Amino acid sequence: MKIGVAAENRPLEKRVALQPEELKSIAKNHQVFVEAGAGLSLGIIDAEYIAVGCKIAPREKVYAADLVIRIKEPNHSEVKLMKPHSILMSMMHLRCEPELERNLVKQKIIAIPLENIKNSIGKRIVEAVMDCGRIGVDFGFKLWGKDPAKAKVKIMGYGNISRGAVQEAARKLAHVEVLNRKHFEEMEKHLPGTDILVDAVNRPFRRAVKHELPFVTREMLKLLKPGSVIIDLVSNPVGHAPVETMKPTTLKDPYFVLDGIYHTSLWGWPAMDPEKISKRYSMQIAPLVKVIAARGLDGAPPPIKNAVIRLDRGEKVV
Amino acid sequence: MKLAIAKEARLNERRVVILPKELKSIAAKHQVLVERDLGQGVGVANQEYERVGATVVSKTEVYACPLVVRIKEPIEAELKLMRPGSCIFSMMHLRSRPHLVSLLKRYKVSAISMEDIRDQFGTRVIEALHETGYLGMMKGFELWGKEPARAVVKIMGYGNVAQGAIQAAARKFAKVIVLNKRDINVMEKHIPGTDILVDGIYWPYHLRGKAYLVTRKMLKLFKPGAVIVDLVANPAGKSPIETVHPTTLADISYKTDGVLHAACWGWPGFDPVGVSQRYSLQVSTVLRQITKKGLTNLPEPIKKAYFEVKP
Repeated sequence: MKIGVAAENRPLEKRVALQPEELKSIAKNHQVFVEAGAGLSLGIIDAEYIAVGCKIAPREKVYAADLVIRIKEPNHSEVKLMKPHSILMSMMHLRCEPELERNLVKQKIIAIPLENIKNSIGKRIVEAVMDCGRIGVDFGFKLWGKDPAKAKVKIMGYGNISRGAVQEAARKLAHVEVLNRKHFEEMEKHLPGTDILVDAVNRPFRRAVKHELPFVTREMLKLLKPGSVIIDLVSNPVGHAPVETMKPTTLKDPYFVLDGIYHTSLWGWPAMDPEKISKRYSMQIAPLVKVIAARGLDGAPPPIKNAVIRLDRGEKVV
Repeated sequence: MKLAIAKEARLNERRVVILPKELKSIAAKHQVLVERDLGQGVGVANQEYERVGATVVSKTEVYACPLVVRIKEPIEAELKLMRPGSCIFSMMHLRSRPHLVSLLKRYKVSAISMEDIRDQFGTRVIEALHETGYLGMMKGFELWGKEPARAVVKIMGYGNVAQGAIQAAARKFAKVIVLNKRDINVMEKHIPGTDILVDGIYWPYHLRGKAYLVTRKMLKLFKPGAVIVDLVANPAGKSPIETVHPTTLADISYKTDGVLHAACWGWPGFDPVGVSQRYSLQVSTVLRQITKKGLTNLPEPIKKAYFEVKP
């Protein structure tokens, strides 16, 4: 099986899905093409990939492999480079990315969204969920600019994403309050006195709805002190965020100020801690790649099989 | 390799360490004994274990096996039944149980401590930490007796166990405040107004028994009817709360100075079916590795959890 490891190419993105150490045992038995310069931002030079038996290749060749791996979803022109019926392994979040879905369907791609690979007790195998909350809150503290120990942090939501946020805020000695569903309905009561509002609400994305009803409206922003920070850990698409004025931001431009309030909603928070996250993902992804390469999709264990979406055969995203 | 699955013997304990579905592939390759009525507490009959290839035997026969598997650590009477040179695979928490260590040495039994097996990221492989917090919190509401939505819940700690309690309390619409290290240093400021105080902190060994965060004197600062839920259930005197001592599933709470205390040794026991399923999946994966290579050839993560006593 030919395996392609693509470079992440969004501005300021430094991560790479697989590092030489983890590729070593895979490259022994399979042809691995690594996009030129893929690890450079982390200080991994092409020679290190070559040393473990990988080949350095231009982008066209990497995307023409049987199995293409990267962290973030590819863009349209990259999808077009892929062979029909080849496999793409990356984060996809297809539910809120209908355009990506259309591109993949058109190109007849077998999708394995990394976020859908779960072990027998339902835990994601490739994840940095706790880190996501930690990194988001840390960036929020940075924007706020004062001593985190003086911050009053309110965290909406209490799922996995919220956990990292609670932990980090408490570690930094902030005052932490967790807001529940009932509180969401009356945010005007909970905003006054809040320095940092963290949105970690996991609302299922509904494609049919253009504008979800927000919990925090633009009108309510004036209840926050100027210079307060709102962090969206989920990076909801515009119109779907529980905070009306929120929209996804990028590494290059990670925040904006509206009505005196900092807004930040990075599409892929873990990217802000590239070294640690890249290594983590590499360790999590490598065993999956190894088993797919060895046994093919049909012989893959249930966590992988269950995540496969045969977009090439008309299977739909649910 | 011959191995045996023991029944949890504590009062009201209904969990089972491994279910027939997960035992099947192991029993296909190894001789597996299961204690009679092993799955009774979760509605699994002896025949279901027999159907996957296990043999149903008495308690004595189970403990005479070279490898004995269960969830909670055995008591002395059970260890006595074990043969010198055999091995127990269960939760052990040996660091806080010196008495158990001396028993293992006395009966020349080795142990693989479930709680010490960690994956490449340092995460526990066999655990129900979130469930511990979740179930403890739910029991706390029950003990408090009023509408959870009206409770002010303060949670000491923010690790895996504490996070389970945070989720449970938030789902029940309680007001949830997380107490950080600075807060737990001045508990007298945070106790007033608290309905349910949850202890979910990892209390370092060198502080155990030497200092307390919540002293007996502070209990009078609680509102009448308040509840203390200790999720960690450290041995008596070793909790950060002076008046806490471990309780059991059969008798989970006691009152001291007007404040209800609950510190169940094994909170996950309150969801026997769910937690058994979870453990079964987690334990079977490790058990397959143990039986594959034998005790003399354990993979690194398991070796780290191995406390060897030479016969």
